Amino acid sequence: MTTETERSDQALIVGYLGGDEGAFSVLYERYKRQLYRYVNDLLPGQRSEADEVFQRAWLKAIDSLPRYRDQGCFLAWLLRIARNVFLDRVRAERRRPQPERFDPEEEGASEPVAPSGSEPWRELDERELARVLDRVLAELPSEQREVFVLRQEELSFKEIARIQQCSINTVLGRMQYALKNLRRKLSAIDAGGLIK
Amino acid sequence: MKKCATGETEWVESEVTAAVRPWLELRRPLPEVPAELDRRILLAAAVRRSRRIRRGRWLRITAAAAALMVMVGGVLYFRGEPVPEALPVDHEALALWDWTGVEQAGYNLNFELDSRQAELAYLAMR
Repeated sequence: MTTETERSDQALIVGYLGGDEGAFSVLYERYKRQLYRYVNDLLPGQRSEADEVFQRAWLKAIDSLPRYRDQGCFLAWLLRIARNVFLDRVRAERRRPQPERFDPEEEGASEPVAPSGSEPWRELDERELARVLDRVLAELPSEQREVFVLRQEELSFKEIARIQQCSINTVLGRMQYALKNLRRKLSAIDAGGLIK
Repeated sequence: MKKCATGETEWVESEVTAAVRPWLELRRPLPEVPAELDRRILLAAAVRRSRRIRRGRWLRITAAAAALMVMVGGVLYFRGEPVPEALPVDHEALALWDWTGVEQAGYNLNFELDSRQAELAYLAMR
């Protein structure tokens, strides 16, 4: 007999819709922290706004569960909902994001880059590195940041393209520029650099 | 990467995947979700679940009531149909088959009388 934690996402959804009280809480516990990290990456430094988007995303997901079709990745579906909630919020506040232009020159290609093979950030301990990475990620353009964090959530490039509603080629380009920018920023790490 | 005919950069997925792999090892810890958010979301899920169950129950009751009404209506509609009227009785025809003995005798005498009268008339003519 499978325990609650072993039940598949689809089985939990069917259970919840059938009246099983505990099924949704298992599903929620399974994905809440990943969604929370994603939403905070979309809104770096805006904790209360991120909380609001997080809550609304879950409520919308709960209302949409009867229409959920098991297409392989519940997390991708959930992240797509959260992104739409985030975009609705942006539109409602009448902020229009600037269109991305992937001009290599504009991405700071002229700035000096550490020689290949040198990765000073490797010397940091894990906790410090996580803090630095969070900070550096917040400085990336939003679309590049989103591609990076979604890839960290183990989503395929195809799923990321579906979430961002663009082509796979665009997603791949964004990822490459994100890595380039991350390397450039992390290469500036030294005793008097990003580490405070 | 390579340039396609339109000049747009075409990225090779396998190359990008290989480039990003080391970065995926830099796992940022998952943040803790505030307890208040947990409470609100789980409560909302419970409320929506109850609402859905109640709505489903009402739909089943309404459907059953509608089916019952159709059945009762059908029974009432077909129950009061009048029995088709029997064919009108030909009393005269029946009467011919329902003679008593007296009536039969009277008929026979009349028949004989008529016959005799017809014979006498014939003889008188000759």
